[in-house]
Amino acid sequence: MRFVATADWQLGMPGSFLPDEARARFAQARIDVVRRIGEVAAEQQADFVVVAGDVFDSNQLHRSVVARAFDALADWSVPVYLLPGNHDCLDAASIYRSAEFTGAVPDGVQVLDAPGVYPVTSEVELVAAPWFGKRPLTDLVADVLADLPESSGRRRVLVGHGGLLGIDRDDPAAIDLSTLTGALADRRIDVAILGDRHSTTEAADRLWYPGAPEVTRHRETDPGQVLVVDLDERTGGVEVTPVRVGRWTFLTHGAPLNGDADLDDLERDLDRVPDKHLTVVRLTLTGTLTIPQRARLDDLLERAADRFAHIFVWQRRSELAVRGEAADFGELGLTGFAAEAVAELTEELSGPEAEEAADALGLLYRLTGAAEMSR
Amino acid sequence: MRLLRMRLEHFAGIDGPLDVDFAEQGITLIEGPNETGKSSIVDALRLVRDFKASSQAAEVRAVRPTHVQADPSVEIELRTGPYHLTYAKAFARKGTTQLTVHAPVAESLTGDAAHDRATAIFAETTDLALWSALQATQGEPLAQPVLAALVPLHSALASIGGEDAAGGHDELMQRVEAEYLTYYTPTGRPTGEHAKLAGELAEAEARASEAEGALADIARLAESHERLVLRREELTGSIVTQRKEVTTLAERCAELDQLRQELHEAQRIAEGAGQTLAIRQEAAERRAQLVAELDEADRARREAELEQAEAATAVEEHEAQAGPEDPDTAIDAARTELDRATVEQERARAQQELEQALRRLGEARAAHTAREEARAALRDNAVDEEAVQRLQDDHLRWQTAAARSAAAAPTVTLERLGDQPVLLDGQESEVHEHPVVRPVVVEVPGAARVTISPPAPLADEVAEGDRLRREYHRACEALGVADLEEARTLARLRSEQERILADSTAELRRALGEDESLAQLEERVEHCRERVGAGEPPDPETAAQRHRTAADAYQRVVNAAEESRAERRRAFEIGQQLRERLVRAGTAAEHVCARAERAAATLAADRAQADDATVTAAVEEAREASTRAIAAVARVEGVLSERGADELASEVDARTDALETAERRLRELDNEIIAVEATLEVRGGEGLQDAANRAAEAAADLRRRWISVDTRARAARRLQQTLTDHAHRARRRYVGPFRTAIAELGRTVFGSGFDVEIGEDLSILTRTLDGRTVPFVSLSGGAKEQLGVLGRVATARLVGGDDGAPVILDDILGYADPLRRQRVLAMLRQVAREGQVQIIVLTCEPSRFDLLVPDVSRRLE
Repeated sequence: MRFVATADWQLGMPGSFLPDEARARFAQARIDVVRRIGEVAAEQQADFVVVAGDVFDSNQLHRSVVARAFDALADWSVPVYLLPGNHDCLDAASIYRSAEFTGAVPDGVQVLDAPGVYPVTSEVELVAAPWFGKRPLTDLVADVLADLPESSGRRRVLVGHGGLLGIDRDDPAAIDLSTLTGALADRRIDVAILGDRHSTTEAADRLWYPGAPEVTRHRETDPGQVLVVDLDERTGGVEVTPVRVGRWTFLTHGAPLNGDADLDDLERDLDRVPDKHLTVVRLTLTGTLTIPQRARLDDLLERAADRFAHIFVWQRRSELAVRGEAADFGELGLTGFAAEAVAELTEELSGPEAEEAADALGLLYRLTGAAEMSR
Repeated sequence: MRLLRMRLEHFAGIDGPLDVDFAEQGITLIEGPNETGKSSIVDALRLVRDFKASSQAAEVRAVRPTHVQADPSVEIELRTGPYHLTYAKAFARKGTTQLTVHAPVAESLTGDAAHDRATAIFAETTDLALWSALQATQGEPLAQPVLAALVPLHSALASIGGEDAAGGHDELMQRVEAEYLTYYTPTGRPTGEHAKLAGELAEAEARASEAEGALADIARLAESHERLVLRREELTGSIVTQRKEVTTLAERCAELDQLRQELHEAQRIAEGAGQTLAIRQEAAERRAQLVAELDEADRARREAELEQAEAATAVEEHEAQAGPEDPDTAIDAARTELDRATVEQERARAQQELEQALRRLGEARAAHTAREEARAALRDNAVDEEAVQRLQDDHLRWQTAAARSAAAAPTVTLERLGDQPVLLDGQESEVHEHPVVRPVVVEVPGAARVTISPPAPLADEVAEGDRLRREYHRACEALGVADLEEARTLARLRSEQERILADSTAELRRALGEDESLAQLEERVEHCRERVGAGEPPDPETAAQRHRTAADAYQRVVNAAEESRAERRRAFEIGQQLRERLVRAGTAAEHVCARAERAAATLAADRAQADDATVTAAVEEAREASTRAIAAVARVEGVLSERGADELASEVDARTDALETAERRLRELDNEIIAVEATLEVRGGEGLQDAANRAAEAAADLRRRWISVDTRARAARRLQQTLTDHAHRARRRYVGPFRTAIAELGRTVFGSGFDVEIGEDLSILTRTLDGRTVPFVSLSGGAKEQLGVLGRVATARLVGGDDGAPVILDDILGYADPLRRQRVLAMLRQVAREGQVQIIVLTCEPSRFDLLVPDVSRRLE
């Protein structure tokens, strides 16, 4: 028996960190990946697909998001089970209870809207632990395991959502790993699929986080995949295969910049990145540049911004100084008071207003036309 | 730049070709009357330099000749930097331009290429601003040149001041300024995209915050729903429990109902016994009241009878007393006597008045007679003191004239020697000496008659004396007197009569007194007589005495009568009161007797029903029954209390109330939940998260743009401020050398006590001359012009050499006095001799520049 496990689709998530132009593509990417998951399920001849929470990024989404999601799901040939997570919990405002959802839900789509057991096939049943509010006061997985009825003979797949206790000790809703591994060990359940962590993770034997199928943040280490899970109904053996479905990349690139050679390297590195329009680059820049070099860097980044979905300097991790040298302005023929002004600004490069002084020098460099000349 | 030669044709007022050569070093003087083209030389220089030959600019059209059909043309030859060139233009729609560069490398260009090349050469080698600044043109002689922006001057001053760098960096400054003004207004407020983005960002952030707020509201509402549902579950459970408890308590309550019934019965009996006791106590009280009432009635009857007897006695005693007599007879007698005494007193007073009036009448009549006599005497004698005075004057004048003539007259002395009479003027005279005032005849009768005549001159005086004598006599006659003495006597008499008249008039007035005339007084006398009447008049003293006695007696009688009347009134009132008291006492006694009889009858009837002992016994019996019933009630209450009946009942009530409250709260919760669900259903579909996402995205976009623009804006501001700051500082440094340069030249013009103060823009702020400092604006027109020339020449001298430009002085020194003019010219000569500055002087009045000694002089016709 084979099924596809996925989670954290985060449909409708905001893209304010992206430039306007890339935002629509980023939103569309989340819908497109749903189609691809359906294709993977079909290709892999999976019996069903289970989504372990956070299908939607929020309960307060415009209902057009539901419509677009259903359009994507309508093409699927395998049934899919949706678990409400913390983002789309089954509270009074739940998107799953909305008329737009209940009135248009395609065949084959089922919401796991109560804790307990759901028979899926003659061999397999799901054990669901859905969320009913944003801040549950108990470990929902432990709760559903505690009330688990006697085995019906079917293999059991637990579907839950949330972090594991140990990461966040203060959260009463955190899932107790030992309870869960205990249930896996004594075969009260055969495999556990959890949502919430966006990176594909095997937390324990037969305990998996599939991760987000399309990347959402830079800090995610291994997103953009779904899991194809083979469960041997006879032996209870489990085999998990991650399959890449995401198209976007969130890249962090560190570059020490201490001269034109480093700038050359950076330019080349960026140039080599594939699918730039689907890539967000976070740069950590360190080192010291001269005014012309700094002007060159600005120009380089400006050009890169046109090609990448987004590129920006991670200020918190960057430390880039600008060094003023008389020679930088020597060729420009600045003399007298202008030369004195340059000297004053150069001196300020090591002061508290270094950034502004560097910008002012850069501007002077540009206005005197030297920037063009040196290129 | 050095101007070598110029050729003008058909240029403004100039027709034929006009050639002017300029001294390359030193002074060129161009003189000519007005409108011979001096100013055209200046204009032509500018036009050929700045405008294309084909230009249709107003300034170019303005120099076209109006009287001939010809194109204005200009040709100049000059040296600038390493170049020596000839540059010519004929201005027309298809104008021609010709540039010939002679050195360093020969070039020849025409058309726009020539114009562009010339422009490039000028830009490379000269400073157009300096070129303009060094012209002191006609019409604006008092202005100071704007020197602060001149790059060559800066370079020159910088080199003097030991600066190793030069340059005004005008273009850079303009670009920096332009960049700055993209983001800020001249006063430093954000403007344009900078300001707009800041505003839009603030709005977008507000919208994002608002959208987040709406989202948070929904989240709160959802949480609230969760809480409400939990609360409903709890409450539902609690209500079930409470219902069970209320049922149990109600059952326990029912068991105590039998005891409550008994208590109710005992309470009913106790209530009946209490009522019986009250009725019997009331009967006993009534019996005691009746006995007391009878006693009271008897006592009142005795008192009333006593009072009645006392009142009767008082009336009898009063009536026995006699009242005072009637006083009217005595009053009438006293009145009659008083009237009689009054009449007598009146007659006595009239008698007194009559006597007085008669006395006054006598006196009045005597005075009247005396007055009439005095009046008669005065009428007969008109000689008064004044008349006497006049007569006395006449007499004196006469006597004076007579004495004078007598003194002047000769004197006849006659001496009788014998017995023979000697007659003087016919009369025997004993007089020995006799004045001859008129002819005197001395005759010895029979013997001789001697007539002695006075001398002729004496005759007039004698005549005057005679006239005055006659006048005197006429006056005597008029007064009716013989002489002055008689007149004096008459006057004294008249004065006496006047006194008598005055005295008698006064006497008459006094005697008349209050009466106005004698007749009136006589009437008074008559009236008094009538009042006295016939018979002997009474003695006034006696009559007054009698009247006083009668009046006193009358008053006494009246007072006594008044007292007597009051006494009788009091006695009557007392009698009346006593009689009323007697009647009242009688009525009261009857009333009290009736009351006593009624009380006795009522008591007798009551006692007939039950005697006093029976009544007392019935009360005692009822009291015992009541005490027993109350004890029975207390006993049952004790039992109920022991078994906690009250607490149980109030707990049942409290629990029932609590249950109702909980059920009401449950209904409320249901309603609240329905309301929240309805709100969530409506708002949930609004896509608040999307809206918040869009708003946050819009804000993020704007923030990114704003940060970018703000970074650029702050860079521009920092650069502009730093550059401006340093430019200012640099200019301040140039002030010193420039001041030295002007002061040096100025001493030639103004003398050794000359100095100036220079502003940061290199303009002259003040001039000091021999210790006196005057602001530039307050200087005379002449001094301003001279300082203007000084500024230009000093600038040209500082710049000097190839970087310089000619100083052109068009029609200057019109304001200068001859001495000052001479000194300015000396200064110009001195500078020209140094060979660094080319000076071109244009004038319509050559005599002004006699002492200039130009290197080249050209006269225009």
